[in-house]
Amino acid sequence: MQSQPAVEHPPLSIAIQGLRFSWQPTAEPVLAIDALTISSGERVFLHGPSGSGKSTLLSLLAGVHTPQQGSIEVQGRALERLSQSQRDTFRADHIGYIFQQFNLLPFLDLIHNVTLACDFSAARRQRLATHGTSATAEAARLLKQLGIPEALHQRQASQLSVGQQQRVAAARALIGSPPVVIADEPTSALDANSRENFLHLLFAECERARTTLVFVSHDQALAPLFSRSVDLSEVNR
Amino acid sequence: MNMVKLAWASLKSRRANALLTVFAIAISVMLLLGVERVSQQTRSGFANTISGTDLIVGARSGPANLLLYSVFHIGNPSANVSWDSFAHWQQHEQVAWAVPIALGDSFRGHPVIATDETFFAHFQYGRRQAIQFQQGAVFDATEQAILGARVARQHQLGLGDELVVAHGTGSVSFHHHDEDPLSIVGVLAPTGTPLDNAVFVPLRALAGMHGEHDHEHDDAHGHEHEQPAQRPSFSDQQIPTEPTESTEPTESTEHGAHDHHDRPIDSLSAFFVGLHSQPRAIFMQRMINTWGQEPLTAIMPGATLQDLWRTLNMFERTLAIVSGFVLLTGLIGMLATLLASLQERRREMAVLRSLGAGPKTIFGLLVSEALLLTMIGIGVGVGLLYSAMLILAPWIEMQFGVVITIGAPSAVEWQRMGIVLIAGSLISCIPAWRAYRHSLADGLSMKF
Repeated sequence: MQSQPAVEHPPLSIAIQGLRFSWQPTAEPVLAIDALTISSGERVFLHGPSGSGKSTLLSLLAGVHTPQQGSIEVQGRALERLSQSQRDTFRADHIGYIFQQFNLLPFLDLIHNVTLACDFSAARRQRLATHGTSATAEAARLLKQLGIPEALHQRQASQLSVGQQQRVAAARALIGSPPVVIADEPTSALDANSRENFLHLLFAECERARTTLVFVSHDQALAPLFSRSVDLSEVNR
Repeated sequence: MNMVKLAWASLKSRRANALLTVFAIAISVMLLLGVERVSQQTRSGFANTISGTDLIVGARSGPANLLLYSVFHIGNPSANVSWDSFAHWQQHEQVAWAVPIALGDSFRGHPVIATDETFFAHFQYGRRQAIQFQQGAVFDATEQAILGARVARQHQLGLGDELVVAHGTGSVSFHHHDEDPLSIVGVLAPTGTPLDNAVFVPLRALAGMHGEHDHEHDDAHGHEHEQPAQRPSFSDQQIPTEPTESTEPTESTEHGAHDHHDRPIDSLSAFFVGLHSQPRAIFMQRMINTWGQEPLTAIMPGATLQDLWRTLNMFERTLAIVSGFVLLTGLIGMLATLLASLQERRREMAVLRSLGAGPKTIFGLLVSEALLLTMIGIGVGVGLLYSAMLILAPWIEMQFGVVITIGAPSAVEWQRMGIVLIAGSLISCIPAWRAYRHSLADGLSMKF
């Protein structure tokens, strides 16, 4: 059932069908999506009012929870068919995740915060190896690329500004080129200037690795920067 | 970076709490192992102090008291044994040998044991080891002394040096037998028993010192060896055993006197007895205990050591229970610290989950932290124990005659460390389980 998509179509990164999810088995589903597809390399701006189920959808995409009904495929794998530990491994290998804030472990330095993603994923390490680089070298490259000067790389994460922390989080999400990056309001704690800057850098890196980006935000002003905008309150009946 | 490294980094960031937890565990480990070590060493020290002696006989008193003053030189005899009683039992057909001792004097805090040359021939310790001389030999004249190994080492005394015995057993004595310096003719090899801490003088030397001085001193100064008041009242009724030849000026009138050579001193503190047949000891013991001439107590050293040990064993067990509770307190402290940290670390857990850590990994992380704390605690505890032993061993040896050897941990000690580690990991399952439940419920949510 997970046959490769037809060659003429761009391969789908995310495919949701007939999805129903509720927190309690008896309650009304908080998420009911008949169909939603996102192609590989797409940059999707996902928005919607509070309570429209954005966070729930992200946790389903990340494989932390599974729907009661329907199917949710990421990179051709139906997550609902995987066991919990398989989903954890899948997430480590295929999904980079950026939180609104508090992304970093305050007691690790920046490099270790970034390479932490590789510690949980053999696939990410493998991909770095085929490109002839190591986790530490790639972490340093990404950090520099995202505007974190080398002088800060050995610092503890807790010593950085919020804007810098978010860029370190982006570097961690991107290291080892996972095919999908999910960002949950990553710019809401940033001022307008660093917001633009952050998005610019994030896009550049996603472009480079043809990474699918699912970006959740309240900030409608950002929508034009994306290739596609999805209003969850419309998709979620 | 594996789980343990991550746990280590996380602990380092919460250094103050971690250190306190480690310290609490370390103290309890030190106590647990310390109690075991002291009792084990005391036990072997006890068992090794005397061997080959079938009976110890003293004036009527508690068996433990008799054992303590005669073998361990702790405490004082409540009364003395007359020489005549000693002579009587020495000549008993069952008795192979009998060694008299008289206590009560000291040399710079070391007990002085007045005895005769038979002591060095018959007294045994450890596994029937005889006393060895590292220098010199047994005294053969009155003004001579033999030193235990530690006494010689501590005071830098050797053959030919002179020493002056003080009256009484305190380390500071105001009354010295200044006119009777003794010259050292022998130094014993170390035995690891109270012998090392003792000074041996001939009975005659003691009698001489006290006999001569009795005229000069006020009788009220409480001299144990020659006080007429302490002499058994019926000693005059003693069955005469020897023809008399009075040579001792102070004793002749009172005792009807004995040959000077047979009777170096009037009264003794105790005597050690070796029998021809060891199984007869119990009959001999009864015979001595029920003897009508003088109220005596005879003990079998092995049995009394065991009785004494049983008493101390209870003390040891109480200590072990107390240190067990201290351990429990330490572990509960760790539990409290870890549980308290969980709430503030829910975000950390969510981050780890987002990176692909499963709930089991989170569980493992918490257990790793607790294990690290426990293992460091055990390490520090062992370190504290060894430092304490290094510092206290000389003092314990001096005070209690127990030799603390500082060796590798014993099997029991390893076992206790293992118990601490297992207890630590079991207790860590509580916060680990909480974190596991949290991470399942929270998922990637950060809104706490």
